[in-house]
Amino acid sequence: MKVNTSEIVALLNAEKPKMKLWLKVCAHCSLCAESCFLYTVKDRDPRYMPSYKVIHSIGTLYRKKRRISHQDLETIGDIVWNRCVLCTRCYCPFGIDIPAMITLGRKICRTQNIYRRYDEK
Amino acid sequence: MVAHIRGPMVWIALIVFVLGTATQILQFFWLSRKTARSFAVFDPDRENRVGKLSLHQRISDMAHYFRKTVFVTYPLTMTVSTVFHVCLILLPLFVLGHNELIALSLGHRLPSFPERLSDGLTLVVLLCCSYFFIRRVVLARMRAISSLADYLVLALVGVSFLSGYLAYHQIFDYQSTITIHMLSGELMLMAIPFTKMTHMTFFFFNRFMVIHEHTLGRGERVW
Repeated sequence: MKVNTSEIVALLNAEKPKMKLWLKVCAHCSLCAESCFLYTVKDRDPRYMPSYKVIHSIGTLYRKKRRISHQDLETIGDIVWNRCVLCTRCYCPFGIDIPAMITLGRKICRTQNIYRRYDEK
Repeated sequence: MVAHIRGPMVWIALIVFVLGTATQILQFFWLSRKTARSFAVFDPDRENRVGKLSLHQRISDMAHYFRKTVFVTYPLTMTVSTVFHVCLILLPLFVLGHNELIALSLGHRLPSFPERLSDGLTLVVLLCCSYFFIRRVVLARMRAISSLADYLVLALVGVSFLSGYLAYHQIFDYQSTITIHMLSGELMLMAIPFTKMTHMTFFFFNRFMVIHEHTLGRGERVW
């Protein structure tokens, strides 16, 4: 499936200063882990940790930019749609706005027709 | 080479650190804006409620707040982290050797810690570094998000304190250890605004000035 990278890059550039700053400030300390209810109910699977979700969605998008593939977007879509419910309860010791980052991830996925699917498991 | 590390490099490192940090602070104000909303939005009754509380009730209110913090979720890591960061900032400022050099250079000196205290606190920092390293290697959730940069930053801090300790006790060749100490310290200063160590600056701005559920200060700005 074709990826419209120009559309993605435009969205990434619009939020770049803030998002890049937050990615840089994240000290990879994992103190956010327990604040995510999904992390606790999924047997503390690190893939549900707020910082993991941000690094592997928005972090990947800024790292790959135009090189992003449809497969990458599917993986990012799984993170931002299925592993986060945007309950906004996540805690970051440095005050990083994690929900805002996930929201951008969802916005980008939407432009590429990657949505939350309710008709499959 | 050594003369450069001991001389101009110190000033270059300080200038890079100060200008880099100032740029980061300006960036913060550029990216955020003042808001009419206040922190009270998350607990509208707090001011009214706390104002009427007795001292005992106020302490209980604070204890209740504390029980919801990350200090209770991760008590060991948060204790180690607090001790580590306090030492990391205070020790270089108040260690006698640094103050002697400042006095030689500027003619003024800061108060200094007793040498044995500085020595002990250096060991505490090194133990904290070891704890962070072990935590990063052993815990699955840490491994899942760790990158080479995380290990390099930790190593840079560890090397600067370890070489300072070795130089003070004149273990190994003094000239080599003191050169490594100066170089790693300068690199660390220069790296603060441009690497993950920038959390040093943003911790204060993000937690005290930006409005969110965990605001520690007045929280009068939004991103």
